[in-house]
Amino acid sequence: MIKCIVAACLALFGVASLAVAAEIPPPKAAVILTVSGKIANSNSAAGVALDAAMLDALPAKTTIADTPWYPAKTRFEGPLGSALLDLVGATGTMLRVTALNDYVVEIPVADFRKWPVILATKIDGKPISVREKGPIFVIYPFDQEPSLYNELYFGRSAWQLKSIEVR
Amino acid sequence: MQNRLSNLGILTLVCISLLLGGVVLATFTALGSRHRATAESVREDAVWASYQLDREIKKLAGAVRELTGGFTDARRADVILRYDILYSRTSVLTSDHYVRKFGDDAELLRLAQDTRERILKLAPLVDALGPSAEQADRISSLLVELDSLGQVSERLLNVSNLAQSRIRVEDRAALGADYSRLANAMTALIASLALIVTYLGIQLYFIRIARRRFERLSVENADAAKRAEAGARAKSIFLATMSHEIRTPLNGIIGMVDVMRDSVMNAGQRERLGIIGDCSDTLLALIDDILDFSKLESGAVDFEMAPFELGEVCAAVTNVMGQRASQKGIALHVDNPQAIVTTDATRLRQILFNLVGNAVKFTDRGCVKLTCSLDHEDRLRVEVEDTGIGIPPEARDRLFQDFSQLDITINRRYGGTGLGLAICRRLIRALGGDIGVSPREGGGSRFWFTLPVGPVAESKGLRGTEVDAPMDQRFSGRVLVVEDNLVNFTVARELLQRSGLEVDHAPDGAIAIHLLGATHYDLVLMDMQMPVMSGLDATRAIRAQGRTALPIIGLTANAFASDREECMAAGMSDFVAKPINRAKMTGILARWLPGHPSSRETTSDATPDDHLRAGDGGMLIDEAVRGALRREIGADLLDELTRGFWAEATGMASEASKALASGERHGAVRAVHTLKGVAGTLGLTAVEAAAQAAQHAIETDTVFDMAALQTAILRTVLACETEIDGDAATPKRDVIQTIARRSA
Repeated sequence: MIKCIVAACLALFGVASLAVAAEIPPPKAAVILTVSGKIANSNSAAGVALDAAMLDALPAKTTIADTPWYPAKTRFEGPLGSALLDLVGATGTMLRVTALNDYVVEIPVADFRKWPVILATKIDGKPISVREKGPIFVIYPFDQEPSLYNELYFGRSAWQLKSIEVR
Repeated sequence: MQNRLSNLGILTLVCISLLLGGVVLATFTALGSRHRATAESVREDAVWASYQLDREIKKLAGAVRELTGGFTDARRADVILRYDILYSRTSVLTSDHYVRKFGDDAELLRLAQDTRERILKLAPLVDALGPSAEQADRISSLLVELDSLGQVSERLLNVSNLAQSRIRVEDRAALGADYSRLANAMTALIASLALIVTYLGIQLYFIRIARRRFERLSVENADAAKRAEAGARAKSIFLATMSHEIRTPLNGIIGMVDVMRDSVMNAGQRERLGIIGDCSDTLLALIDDILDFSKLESGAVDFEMAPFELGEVCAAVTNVMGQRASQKGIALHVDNPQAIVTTDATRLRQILFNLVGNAVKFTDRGCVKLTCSLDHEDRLRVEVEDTGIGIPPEARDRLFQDFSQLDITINRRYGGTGLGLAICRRLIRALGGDIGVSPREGGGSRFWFTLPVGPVAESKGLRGTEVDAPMDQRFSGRVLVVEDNLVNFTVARELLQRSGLEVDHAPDGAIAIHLLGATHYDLVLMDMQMPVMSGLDATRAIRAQGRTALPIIGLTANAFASDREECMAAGMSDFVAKPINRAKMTGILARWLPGHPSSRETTSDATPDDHLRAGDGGMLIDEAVRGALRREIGADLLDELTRGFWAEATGMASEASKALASGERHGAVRAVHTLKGVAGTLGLTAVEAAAQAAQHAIETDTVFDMAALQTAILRTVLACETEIDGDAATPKRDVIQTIARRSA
């Protein structure tokens, strides 16, 4: 009996927590990333608006790799692209990524699923300023997959990421 | 040479190919590293970066111009963001990649540096933007800066575009060069491989051609060998036939000479007869030598290796050579161990005869010494020493060469073919031995030879049969001579009758068997080759009838060792090679018949004509017929008829020969048939028999023995002339001449 009550409570709590999770809270600080398009969840009119803290709360990964943009191996850190997709409940197959300078590039959703692509928000443990190509830098796992080290993925590695439209 | 050259060519080509392969590999490596370098240098396109920079400058300028329309925080934030973006781009201009890529373009680097510095310098101006009194000134000075910056960045865009194009062209050129180098190397490689293949193909072709040529050659060689073999066989058959054919008339000559020696002759005639006899002997020796040599030459010599008494062979040599030596007044010493040795006895005898004969021939005074010894390895060493003319050292080498005699004078003085020592050497070598000559102290020479003669056995002592019987020994008994050739028979008969024997004649084996059934004979002399039934067949038949004790002596003109084997195999008791002379005949008789002590009285006075008329088997003249004729037609008429017949007889004989030569067998048969008839009528038995034999020969297509017929005629003439004139010593010269002329 007690067991049943406990189980019911747990179940109720779980459902509640899921309901809470699905309901993304509005950003508390400056929005640095907006996700729109074919997404299941939203916390604003535009879609899902995220501040730095929200991004940092997502499951993250660190990629230390040589890139064309830095003279030496650089330590990138940030939420997994796949985690972001999960968060927003993305249903499309293509991501239209726009940078602060209006640079637009399309990234297949499959890339995020296939590889641990991160939306780096920190370099060497420090947040990235706009002057340093921040605040968000799409980083493919160049260290793990040498085959990614080419122009196609360099092109998809958008920096100063501003918004993502799921299509 | 050609092969070596082509091998060298292949080697060179292989080296070239390897080299080219290396070049191709190196080019590939170069391309690969270039590709890798390109991959490494993959980065934001420089032109794109410059363009972005220029664009961001313009955007910043646009944002700043917005400020002139009224200062708001949003506008300010926009300016700051634009500046930040612009700022973020400056790092590209000074990045290692950028510098490395355009490192050789000083203007570009200068512009990039300038642009960067100018952008960085803007930072305080942008940061200081705010709602203040100097705002307008600041904005306008910022705009001135941005304008000038825009110009620089445009310039940078252009320059970097040009540089990029230049680099692209250079890269393309380098890549093109690499590819063309690669293509060249590949082309050369392919060409050299093609050459190698061609070379190998050519070599294969030549190898195939050579193989075909070799095959053809080997077939041709085989054919040639077959032909040569056939030729050699034909030659040896020819030689055997020739030896037979030459020996038959020689047999007649030697036999007749032997018979005639006992005739009553004056000194001149005796001397001439002696010369004829010597010449005949020499001719026979020559024929034997040449025959031997030819057989050795053609390799057709079979050796009969059998154990025999060494002493017997030595004794045989002593018997013959001792006589010759004593005639020359020199001594012949023989020293040999009593032993039974194993080698070819006939050949050993031949070698000894040759060496000892030479020694005797070339020694005029002193002695000849034959020494045989056996060593512990069962090798027979024979030395023949003489005190003769010796051999100059420089001549020793060619001594054993074919047809070599030391000089013409020796040849003229001593005669001979010069084949003797060559034959000896060939025989000795063939028997596994060696022969040589060394000088002898005190003049003369020492010939030696060695022969392997194992196994050697203890001797049982010398048999007495080989010791030569006195030539005038007499025997008693009846002998059957089986011989198709009347000359041979006549000779045999003469010799046998001279030894006191009665003689019967059988012209072939079948008649011999018939006669043996009717009469008792103590000895049979059996020719080998006869019509109707050969001597071998007859012997086998006789032995098959159970007459195993009857001595049958084989007679043949063939001096081949194989003949003796056949004789013995057929059951003959002994073997005598023709021509038969008195010595041989006496030796045989002494061996096989009980002898009587010699009696000079009984032989020395006997005239040949007694013997010519004696006996019944081989009459020259049928006295019964002639006596009857003489009584009936008168002695004078008979003589006249007889004399007339000689001319007719020789004429008919020649006619028969000619007819035979021109293939008219019937003519030949008719001629000899007439001859036979006339001879029979006149009681000229020998001629009749000879003609009969000739007719038989022609009819059976065997050899037509013209010599036998001529001899029979000649002998009958002699017999008749003696009868007519009663003087054997003076036969009618004109008759003899007629015969000689007609026969020629």
